[in-house]
Amino acid sequence: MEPKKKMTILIVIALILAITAITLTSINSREVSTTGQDSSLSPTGAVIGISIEPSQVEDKLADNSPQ
Amino acid sequence: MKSTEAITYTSIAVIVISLFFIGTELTGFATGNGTGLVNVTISTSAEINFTTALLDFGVGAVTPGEIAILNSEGTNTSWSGNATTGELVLENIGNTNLTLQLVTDKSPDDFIGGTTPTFQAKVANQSGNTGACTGTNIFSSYANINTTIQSACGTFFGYEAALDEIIIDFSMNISDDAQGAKTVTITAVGTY
Repeated sequence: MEPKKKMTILIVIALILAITAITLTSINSREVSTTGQDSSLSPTGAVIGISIEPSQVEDKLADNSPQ
Repeated sequence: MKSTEAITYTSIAVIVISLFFIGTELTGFATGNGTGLVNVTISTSAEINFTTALLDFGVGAVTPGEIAILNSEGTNTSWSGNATTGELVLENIGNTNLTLQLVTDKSPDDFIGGTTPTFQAKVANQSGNTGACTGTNIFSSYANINTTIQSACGTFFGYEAALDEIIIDFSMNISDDAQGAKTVTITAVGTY
């Protein structure tokens, strides 16, 4: 086999192996998160109600009027 | 050194290094004593719900010259209306512990009106749910609740059946110059 052909085959093999190694390494290098990310729920609501009537005003004029 | 030799040596070096990394990633082929893997993913379901979502203090008037003090535990000082007994009930209906915060959509001035109104909340475990709410609780006794979000169960609000319910009582001071139909929304925010 010609030396040039041998070198080409060598380069091809080197490239294939390099790509394989990089791929395997990157696949296994993914870290699995063990901590949950804080998430807020959709808020839930409730209602407080009250109806305030006007306070009765003392009729001081009536109290002070002459009998 | 000729360039062809350099390329050759470089290629060999790349092959050796690549084989090393591939070797560390591949761990061999197991034979015999096969084991199966069952993969179960349990999704987190986080949800809270007001099982009692309405608290009505009814109708009444403030005694002239006085400040009415009402709470949902039966106090109705200087108030012509009936005493109110009840509370909001909040349940964690998910499958994960939460932290809980409370906030209103109105300030006491906007909700009650009149002169120097106050509006307060108190958060406690529902009867039979001891430990439902743990950690920082601004509302462990009656405390002002307003449009600023505040912590009610700072460590967790539990989800397990025996500790997944809390009750929220309310108290308010109303001056004699306040009047009208009033409502305020209490919002519970859960975080997990």
